[in-house]
Amino acid sequence: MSSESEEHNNVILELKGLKKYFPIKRGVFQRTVGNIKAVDGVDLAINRRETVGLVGESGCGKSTLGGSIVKIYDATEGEINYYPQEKINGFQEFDLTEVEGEELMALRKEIQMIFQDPYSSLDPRMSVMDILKEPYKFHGEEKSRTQIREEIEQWMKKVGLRTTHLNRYPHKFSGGQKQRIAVARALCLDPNFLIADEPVSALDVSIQGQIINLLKDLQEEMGLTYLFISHNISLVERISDRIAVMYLGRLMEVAEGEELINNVLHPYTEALLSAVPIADPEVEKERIILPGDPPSPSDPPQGCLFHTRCRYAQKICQEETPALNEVKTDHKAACHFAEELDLQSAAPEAV
Amino acid sequence: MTDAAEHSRQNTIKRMDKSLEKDKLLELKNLKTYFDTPEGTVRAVDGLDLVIPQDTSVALVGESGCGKSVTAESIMGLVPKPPGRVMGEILYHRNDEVLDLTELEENSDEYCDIRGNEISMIFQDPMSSLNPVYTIGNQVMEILLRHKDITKSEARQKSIELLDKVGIANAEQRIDDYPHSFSGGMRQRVVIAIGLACNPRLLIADEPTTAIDVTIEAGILDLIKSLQEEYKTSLLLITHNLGVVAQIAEKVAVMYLGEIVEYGPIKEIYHSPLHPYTRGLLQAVPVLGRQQKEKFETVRGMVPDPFEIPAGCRFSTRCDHKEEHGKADKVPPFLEPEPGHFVKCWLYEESDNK
Repeated sequence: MSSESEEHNNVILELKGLKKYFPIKRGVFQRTVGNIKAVDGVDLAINRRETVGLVGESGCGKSTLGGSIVKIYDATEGEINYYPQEKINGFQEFDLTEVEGEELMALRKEIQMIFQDPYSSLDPRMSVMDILKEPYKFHGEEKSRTQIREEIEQWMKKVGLRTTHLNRYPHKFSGGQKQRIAVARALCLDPNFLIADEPVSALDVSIQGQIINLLKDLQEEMGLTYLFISHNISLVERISDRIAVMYLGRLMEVAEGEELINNVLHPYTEALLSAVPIADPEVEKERIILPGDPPSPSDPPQGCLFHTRCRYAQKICQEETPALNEVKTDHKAACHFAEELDLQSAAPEAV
Repeated sequence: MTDAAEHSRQNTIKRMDKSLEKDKLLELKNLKTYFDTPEGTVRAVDGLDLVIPQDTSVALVGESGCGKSVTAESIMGLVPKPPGRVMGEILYHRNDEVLDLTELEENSDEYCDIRGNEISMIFQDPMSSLNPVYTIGNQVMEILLRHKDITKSEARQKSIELLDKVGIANAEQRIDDYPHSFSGGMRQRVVIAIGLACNPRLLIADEPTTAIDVTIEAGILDLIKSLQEEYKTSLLLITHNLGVVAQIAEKVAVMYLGEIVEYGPIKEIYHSPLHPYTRGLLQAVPVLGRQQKEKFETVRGMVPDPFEIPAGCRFSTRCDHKEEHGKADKVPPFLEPEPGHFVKCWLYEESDNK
């Protein structure tokens, strides 16, 4: 067999030129006058059992990217190839942008998502029992009621909650506990791929660690693959194998975590790292403060998307869009000068 | 409170005063803010002692629900009464007179002259702290016209200067824009401009960067710091993120369930934290480039229900050291194990060199 099938054995999800545009409509006839380019051509391959961290500022399209994978949004263009571990309906490869009907239902079981705000992702009028039963209602037909109940009780214990709380309603729980319920709901159907969209940013610092530890333990136990979306690069670095940095709908840099923070190749990553506050009062560092705000995704700049705020920008940056090239082994960057620039890496003690 | 406990409290306050290098600006003494609800009384702030010296930045750190925002609201006279009750003293020192803010009527002219003028506040969410139906200029000018004896055109000129100062490009044109055309970071800059408009003596910043992206956060923190130094304003920075305060605060007070559990200079808090809770909080902050595959050190458990605050040491339900001293059911004293560094924990003893 060729190397291609081997590669597919390793890759679980592959995004190819993924685009998601939201049309801007105006006037009586709701004519489309423009597009918000939330995701604008993303290529990314995620390997089995790895954690890929997706970082970027708000509005960079990271949540839209996650949403496109679970088909909350229909992709405008491009492919989302999913390779399940075992054949589903006799197929080994699915393009998630095209599947529908029964196949889609089967795949929904495989790919799950946890949302940012546990306060709004749990229905306040459903008890925890009802919330956790919901996935089985759609995907667990072959299981008996007692079986389902047993499984739910096991899941409560797994995520560190008491089974006696099953009849309580969400308002009785703290933010951290609610997020634990959301984790149980996402994982109870034994998926292979989990998208965690800012799962801890609504939680207190001391609780964040507990949820991260829980996610890590479950990943090991169940052999899960994570796409971890967050704006907090220190957190992402802590738990991810690889990190992808996103800006205005495109990936700027992709590399293994340690490599990314120690050998920065893209000026945007450099600025992002330098903006991270340092938890040491005695370290003084020169911060790169990016001028202005990110440009609007409805009217992104010509050429390199980052050139309007980049301190190394030259003429070519305004004219040509750099491709995401492999500058070093397993280290990709979308910058014309990735090989020439000598960028600051993260300061020690940055939090 | 028993006499002995009261005595030791007074002693600690005296020593806290001694550890100050500058004159006092605001003094919170045994501050208690309670809320009476149908389910019972929530003791949001429960016996808080804190001094904010002049021209100093103090950080108040703690998790959500620990009472840090209520402390700020008590100072500003923003606690709704009922259900709220504010007890204790909030002593505001100005030109040789000492004013107890708890004794002033919230809507009295005297309080209104202080609020926004001498003590002002920046709120967490810039999206909701600006009024969407007024222009930016209107909202900056409002505070100037209320507190300063100036004409409208002077106020407008001053507003443009202020907006320029907080880094809003093209202030002259943008002053007539409405908040919706500003991004989150820009709005927070406007809020800072409003907070500093009257050159206050104390600026309270309640989670000023929590709703803002990290690349913008750095700029906002730098701005607050530089303006604080320039205007010689005191700063009370309220945050849940110990990482943020390192670069900006001089003193740190760590709060847990309505009381201060540790207080000291920033360097001491970071390099030799004493209270198990402070240590837990510091470890819970992910640090770039440190052993990533390791597990997170966390504070186990969670903040107890506000109606079921543990008797004795309030942190005892989450503390790993309570077996060591076996006194978790008694309220620990507020001690000074190292000069200028205070902690409320049974694990430590008073230092000898007072």
